[in-house]
Amino acid sequence: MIHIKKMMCVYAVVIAVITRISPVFGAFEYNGLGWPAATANIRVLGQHPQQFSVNPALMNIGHQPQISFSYQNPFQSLDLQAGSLSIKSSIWQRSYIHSLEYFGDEQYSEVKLINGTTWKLEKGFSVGMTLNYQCLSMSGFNRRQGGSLSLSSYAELSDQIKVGSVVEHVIQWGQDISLPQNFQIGGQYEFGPATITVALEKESALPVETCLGLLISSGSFWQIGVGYRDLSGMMSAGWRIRTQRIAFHYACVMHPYLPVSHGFGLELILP
Amino acid sequence: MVFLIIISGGYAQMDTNLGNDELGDPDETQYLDQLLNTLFQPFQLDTADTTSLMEHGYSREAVETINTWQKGNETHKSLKRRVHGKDLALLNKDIKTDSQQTQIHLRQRLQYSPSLEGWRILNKGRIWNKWGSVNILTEQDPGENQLTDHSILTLSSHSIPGIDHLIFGDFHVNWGGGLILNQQGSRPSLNPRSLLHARQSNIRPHYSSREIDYFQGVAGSFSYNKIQGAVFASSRTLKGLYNGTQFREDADGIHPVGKSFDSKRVNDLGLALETLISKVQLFAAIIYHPQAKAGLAYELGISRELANSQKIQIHTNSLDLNDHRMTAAWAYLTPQLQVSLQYRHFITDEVLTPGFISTLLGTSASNEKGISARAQIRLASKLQIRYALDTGNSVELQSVDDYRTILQHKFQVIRKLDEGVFQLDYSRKLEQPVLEEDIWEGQYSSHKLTRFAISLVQNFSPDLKYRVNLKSAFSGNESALLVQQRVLGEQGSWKWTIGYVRFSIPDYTMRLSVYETSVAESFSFYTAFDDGDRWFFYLKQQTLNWIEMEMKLVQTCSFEDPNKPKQLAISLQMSVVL
Repeated sequence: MIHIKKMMCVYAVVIAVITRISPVFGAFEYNGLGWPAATANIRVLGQHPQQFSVNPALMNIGHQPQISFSYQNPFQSLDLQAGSLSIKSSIWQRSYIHSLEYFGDEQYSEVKLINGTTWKLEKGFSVGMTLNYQCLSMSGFNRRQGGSLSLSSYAELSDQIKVGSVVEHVIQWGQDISLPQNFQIGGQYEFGPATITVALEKESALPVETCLGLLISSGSFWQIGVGYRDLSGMMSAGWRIRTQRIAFHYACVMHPYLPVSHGFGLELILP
Repeated sequence: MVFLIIISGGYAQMDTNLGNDELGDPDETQYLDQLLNTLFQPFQLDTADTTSLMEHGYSREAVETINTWQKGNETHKSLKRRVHGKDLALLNKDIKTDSQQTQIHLRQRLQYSPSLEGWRILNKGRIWNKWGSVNILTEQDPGENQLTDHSILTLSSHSIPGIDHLIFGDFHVNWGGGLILNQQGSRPSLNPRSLLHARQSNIRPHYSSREIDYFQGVAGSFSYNKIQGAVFASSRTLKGLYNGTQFREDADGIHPVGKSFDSKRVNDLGLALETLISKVQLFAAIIYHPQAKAGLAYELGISRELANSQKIQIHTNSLDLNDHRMTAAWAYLTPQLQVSLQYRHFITDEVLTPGFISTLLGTSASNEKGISARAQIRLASKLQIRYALDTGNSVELQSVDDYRTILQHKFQVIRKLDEGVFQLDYSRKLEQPVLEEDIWEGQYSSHKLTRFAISLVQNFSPDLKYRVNLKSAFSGNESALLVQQRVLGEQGSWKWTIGYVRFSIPDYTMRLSVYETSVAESFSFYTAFDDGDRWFFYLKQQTLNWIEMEMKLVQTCSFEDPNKPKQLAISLQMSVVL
């Protein structure tokens, strides 16, 4: 009985999302519940490894290696599981990001592998590139997989103002899966302890979604974030505590029609 | 014997002179120069005597200054510092003419775009020196069978005695307030000065691939005492289609094989005169157009400089109160604050043809009145704020379709940053067409269009520039968004630009080209109205200081129709400057 109830809810979620997506791009893409989820899941700007995996141009050379684990409970009570592992490293004066994400249950699953790097063209201006592999499995259907290339840029206009943009899945390989091209552009303004981020996201032929995030930091010890996405109506909130070598975070996302989602994370900063 | 010695000595001397000449100047330019000098005796600033300077138009004070300058070994720049007002304007013109060396520009462009369904070929050549210039242009659009489908050969000179500028070939005429002639590129901008007409009797060579709105024949401008003027005679064959008795010129200029067009020969004669008396500038122009109903059209204009940086300007094409086109403008122009106001009143039975006088209400609405206002404030040197208001109302009902009103506000802020420029644009347009059914139902439909745009240019270094534009439009339940990003770089003889545009524009009427500040902004290709994206790559290399190779690649993709293939457009251009 529980299994039937869960199946019904899972399909309700899948159908709810798919109805918003063009039939050609029928793949259900899970956006993750890492630390960026606290601030409207804006990943085109920010300084977290999960944001680097979308926009590698955000990475600075010389930062210490960073490992981020995240366990996520999307749409509570549906028994869906999700998690991610992101590693940021620097080799020969170049920063790299590697990320592995999983979402699903025994009926349906998504796996995403991302490898990205960045080039600094000028002081304050960088471009980035990621190579992505995605695999979808649904019981009763053949496994579908494909690869893609994404491009991004990041500009520090001043100490307070930053601009970033990403075009995901510009070039694709593999005929049995169609990854929806996603364009994101965002601006960030920092004043005192607060950082406001506004981003526009346009996925294929879907309407534009405006995302608004606010992050309040006290030095480097704790951070509180809130966010809102206008198209889906999702509101989010979260906190993050960081010591010299270790950080914890929690993010909570409230959808107007679907159950609440939670994400917990542990981050290690290696010497 | 003596005779032979004299002859042999003479030959020896001639050989030496010929040898020296060949070493000094191997080409024959000097002989041509000498011939032209003998024929026209051109004015040369370095050697002109007092009488020549006076006849050329310089004041007595300026003549004395130039005489002193000729005796010393000083530069043109030092002379310009000592001459003012009209003398300075004349001096700048003379220095420019004097310093013009023989130059040759050649440009060849090959352009392919899926929307064109073939290649466009454009060849341009320009040769000029201090005597004049020759402009040659040939163009072939896709589907056309001749390389010279549209060709231009224009001779132009500033060195003919008694004539300031002579053009033989294809030319444009920009006269007065544009009430009897089409004024290409005269649509008012947010600049307050755009409501005034500064150059009243201007002619200039036509040198572009645009195939409408120009004349063909001979044109000249002249000055006589305080009177300046221009005259032209034109006879041109237009290609287009007849709609009843109305002839409509083919605006896109593409005349493919198999498509038949009508031809119409149009003859025009024109004369414009202007004079400045004290601070009053008077203007009069007359055009004879045998095919037009009235045949003869005239325009009168008066401009006056008032105290405290003010100026008024009135133009009319008729003194009949019931049948005229008239504009009246007032402006207050200071470096910090500029304000201008224009009132226009067009009431005439003559139906305007498309591409003729620009009206706010549209091409077929010949009767309208309205106000245009512009204001510009410069706060410090880094902030500029502009505001524009345009209104238009139908005056006399000729057809129900023409009867409508328009109200438009535009607001612009430009802020110079330490390493870039920030620009914000906002506009709101309210259009109320009055339809036949509206009149009976007592309701009026309206159309509101709101546009908002921000633009940022950031110079990261002298060699790297980044630009981002966000443009949006809202009308009822529909909205449009366009995001443009460009990175511009330079390295040695190479220049490159990479651009990406993501656009979501549901309706042609909401297209956002209004914010495209330059042709390059739209990537020289048509503005899409769709849901899609566009990549742009531009590469330029200069070789040997006189050859430039340029390449543009544009790829457009539609998300609205994913089955539609991606479209790749290519443009290659080679320029040679000698």
